[in-house]
Amino acid sequence: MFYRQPLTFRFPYIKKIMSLNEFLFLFRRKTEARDKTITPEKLVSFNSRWNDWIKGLAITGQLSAQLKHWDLHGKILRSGNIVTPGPYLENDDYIESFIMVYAADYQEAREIAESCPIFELDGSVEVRMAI
Amino acid sequence: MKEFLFLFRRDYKTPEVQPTPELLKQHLEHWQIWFEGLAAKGLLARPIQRWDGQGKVLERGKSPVNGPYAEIKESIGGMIIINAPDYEAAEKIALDCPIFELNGTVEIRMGL
Repeated sequence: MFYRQPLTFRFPYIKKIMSLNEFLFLFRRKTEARDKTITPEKLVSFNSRWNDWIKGLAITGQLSAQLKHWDLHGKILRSGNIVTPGPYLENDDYIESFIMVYAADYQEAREIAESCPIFELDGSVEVRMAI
Repeated sequence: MKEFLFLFRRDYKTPEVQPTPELLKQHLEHWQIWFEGLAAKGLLARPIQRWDGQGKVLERGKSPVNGPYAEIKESIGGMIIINAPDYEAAEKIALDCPIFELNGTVEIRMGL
């Protein structure tokens, strides 16, 4: 899907004037939840809510980086040239995708993140500020 | 040409394994050099961005938790997106990543 680039992207000085920060939203899901409970209907309704949420952020110009999907495999490299299949699991959680969002500070970023549909699927959001 | 996400993780918590200020300075210089190398070879799909070490983690039914997500020892220090034809090529690029100096890991995921 193509979203019209927000003004803040095409005119970086706007971002500066409004003193906005960029925040990374990392979306994690549980492998257990992914494998077990999602019925096709639930998935369809979740996807539409998810897309609406992303579209909402794009329309208000808050979305800095497009949502991108990453495969569910991956590789993990460690020192000594050790390669194991991914994704990297942190207590049964793995990173599914991320977006970048403009917000004034952590408070505002948090408020934006709290409306994210991923919580319906017992996912989590990690918010990190760009420096 | 596909996009590959590199997620860099290492242990930021255990006091004994944290680098000394001198070592950290050197370590960061290695990152700088490595990133410049990637940019010079035209491998970066997006410009490099750095992230603070704080962050918040939000989960349903829990109040927001401070700090990067750290369910286990390691947490994410940074990430980049590069262009490569396949996993093999992406792995090769990740081979000389400075994170290994501090026993960190690189997670590689392919963009769909």
